[in-house]
Amino acid sequence: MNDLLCDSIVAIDRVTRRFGATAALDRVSLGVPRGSVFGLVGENGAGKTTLIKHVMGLFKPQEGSVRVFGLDPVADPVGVLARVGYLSEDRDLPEWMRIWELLRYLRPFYPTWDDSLAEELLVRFELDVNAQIKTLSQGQRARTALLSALAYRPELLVLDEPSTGLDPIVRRDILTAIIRTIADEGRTVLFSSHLLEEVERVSDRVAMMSQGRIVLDGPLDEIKESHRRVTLRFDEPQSISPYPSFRFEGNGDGREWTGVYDGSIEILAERVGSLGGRIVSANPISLDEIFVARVERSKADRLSAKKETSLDREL
Amino acid sequence: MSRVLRAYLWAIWTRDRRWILLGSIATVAMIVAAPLTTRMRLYGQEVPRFYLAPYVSFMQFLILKIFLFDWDFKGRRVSFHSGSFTRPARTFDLVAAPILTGTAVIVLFWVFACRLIFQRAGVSIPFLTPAIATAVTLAAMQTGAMNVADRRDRRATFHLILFQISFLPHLFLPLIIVTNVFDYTISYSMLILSFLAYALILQFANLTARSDRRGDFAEPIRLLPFEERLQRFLLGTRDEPIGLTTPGKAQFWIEYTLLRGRPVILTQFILAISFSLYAFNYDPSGSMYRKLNLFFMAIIALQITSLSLGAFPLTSNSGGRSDDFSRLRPFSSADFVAVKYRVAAANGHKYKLLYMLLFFIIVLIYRYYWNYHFDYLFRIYRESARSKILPFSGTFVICLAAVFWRALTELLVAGTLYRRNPGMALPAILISFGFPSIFLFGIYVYFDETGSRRRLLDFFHIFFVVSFLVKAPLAFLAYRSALKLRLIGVRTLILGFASWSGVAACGFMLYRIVFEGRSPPIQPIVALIGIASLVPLCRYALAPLAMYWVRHR
Repeated sequence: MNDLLCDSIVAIDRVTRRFGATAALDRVSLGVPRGSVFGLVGENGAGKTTLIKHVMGLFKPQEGSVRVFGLDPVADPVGVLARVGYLSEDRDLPEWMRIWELLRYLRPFYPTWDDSLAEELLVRFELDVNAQIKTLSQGQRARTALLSALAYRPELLVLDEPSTGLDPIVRRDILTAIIRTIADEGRTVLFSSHLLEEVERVSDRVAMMSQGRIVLDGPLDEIKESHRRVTLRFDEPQSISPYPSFRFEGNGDGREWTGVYDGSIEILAERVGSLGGRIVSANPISLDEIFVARVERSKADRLSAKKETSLDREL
Repeated sequence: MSRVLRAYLWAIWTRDRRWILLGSIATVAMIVAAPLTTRMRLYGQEVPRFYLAPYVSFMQFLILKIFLFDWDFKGRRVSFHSGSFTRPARTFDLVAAPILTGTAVIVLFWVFACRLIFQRAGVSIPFLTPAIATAVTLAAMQTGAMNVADRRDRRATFHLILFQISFLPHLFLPLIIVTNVFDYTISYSMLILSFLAYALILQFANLTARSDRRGDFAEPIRLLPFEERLQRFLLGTRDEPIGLTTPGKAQFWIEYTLLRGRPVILTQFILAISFSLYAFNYDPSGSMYRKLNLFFMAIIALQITSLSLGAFPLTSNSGGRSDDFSRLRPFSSADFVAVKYRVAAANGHKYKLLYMLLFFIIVLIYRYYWNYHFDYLFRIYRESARSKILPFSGTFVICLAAVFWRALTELLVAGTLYRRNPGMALPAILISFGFPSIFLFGIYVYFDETGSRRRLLDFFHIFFVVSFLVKAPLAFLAYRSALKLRLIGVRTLILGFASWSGVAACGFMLYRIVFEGRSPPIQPIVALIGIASLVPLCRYALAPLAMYWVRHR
């Protein structure tokens, strides 16, 4: 286990999870530093929820290990879950209960339950305690679920697609505010989302997932700093990409190539120069664009690796 | 009492307080009415028989509702929902404690009802049988509700209504029991009806399963034409039909249950053992046969309920989604096993349904026609059995034939499931084959009185005919497919048959040595050994492990 994992509040070390022939998680390693807001992004089916379920101890790793607060959530669910607030993707709530009954029911589970905070959140979320859960709108359900995850001041808040069902105002004002408040209090937030704009707004650190693998993991600022949309121009037309590993795409005549680049600009300039070209522009890009580029690159790498393997077999 | 259990009980009280109040009022009314109406008669029958049965049905239903439908009676969540497992509580507190509480309530209710209501009303009711009915209902409701009503739309409501109708026979069980306590013929009908209801429920659940629940790794599947039509009728054309694969032409559900044990199984087990133990003390002055009857009724109950528990996820977190299977890692070839079980779930029911329908039809025919017109076909056998020339071996032979279908299909299961893990094949075969033997052994002992045995013969020859008319061809098809696909080898076949015949023969030999002709009083130690030897064979023994899997998949 590396140093980052050792210092992390959530340490996921080479976890693999297969559903039949499909690898939902493929040797995933991840560390969530204490006090950070950690955004887990990926397309549908990338493995985000599966990873979160491992953190919650709902899934037992088939390979590798998961530690939360240094504890194994499977071996010690009580020790871990008492300190974790969890908002599941499907907002799993008992339909027949009223909101006050839900809070009354949940209170004995958590020694740190804070009634005053629960009341404060009720007001903030504009929820009626006498409302029956089955009568709530999707947004109200999401807020109720969020309330039940926050009212005991968990050290770690795990949110699986928290924006689902929330309108833009609640998403921007309340959710963001809550996440930031928790982080400011030194607590940790791990949340998954496919809304990159939201992740970009609140996260300190981001991990991008694709097909069960982490394709990028690091502090948000560093990620954004390191990725540039680069345009290259050559005197002579180039028949192949000048830098295949970065998937530059050429225009019609092969003189101009554009792609997302996250290496050293100096090295790129040197390489391009040796081919008789130059860097025309290197502009910052959004997280959205970074994500698309990294996922495509990852898929291409995997495809070529697969081809190589099958070629080796044939030989 | 732990704080978690307190919270759970509080939640139950909050949700069902009106029902609990209603049940209490009904109970008080029964206590008052019972002694007052003992001597009254209506249409020549004792009056209590008319009102006690509905009361028992109602209370039974009430207890089941309270302790099984944990959150939402409409069926989306049954017993243990995924939210429970994200709470900081031990698995025991979340799973076992509520089950044990529910079990205790059921037991207490029946003790209470027997002592304060039935006895005072002058009705002698076997303590065991209502519990069996409870267990059967419990399993059926769980199975159906989880799979049929897991959708929040009008179609789901429609499904639920159909489901409720399909388990109505279970609700009538207490009524049948109360009004026909010692009528074995009715008891047969009751058993048949239970089986039929079970088959209908599972088949229905199977047909209404949506394609998105099949999982990513489901094998290519296809439906029979009538099933396609039925599914289209039930689900419309939105969903890709779920169907059957060739190797699934077997009843995988036994093995499926073996590994997919659920907390509810624990309830069944506790109920059966509790009532078995009670049975031995139920009638201290009665004959040992009577006690054995009660004891083996418990075993039969286990068998029935295990069938009802069948092949569907009963307390699944995600209601049968593909990732449910990933929790099953009993052996190294877990994925393979899981897929096979999935297929099995679809297939076992289809043939079960066909079988049960034919069985039921033949019973009806028999009841009205066969008895008079075709009886001579079986006269030779029956006479030989009755003449005591061949009382044991005759029945043994007929029993062997009666479970022939089971041997075939279960052998296929064992061979198929464990082909990638040959080390598991033999124990699997032994377990698979041991069960029918014990089952038959139980039935045989249950009917071990001259009068009863005559009824047994009446019963078994139907079984015999159906087995050969229906099950043998199905088994033949299954074997042909399996051999073609090389899912099973001839050697496994022979091994399986040998194991099964051996176990069955041992059971009956044991019976002959211990009981036949001598009728000695059975020693408690023998009973204990009997129970102890059953447990390791039972899938119920896996319940704690299953609970663990449920939480940490």
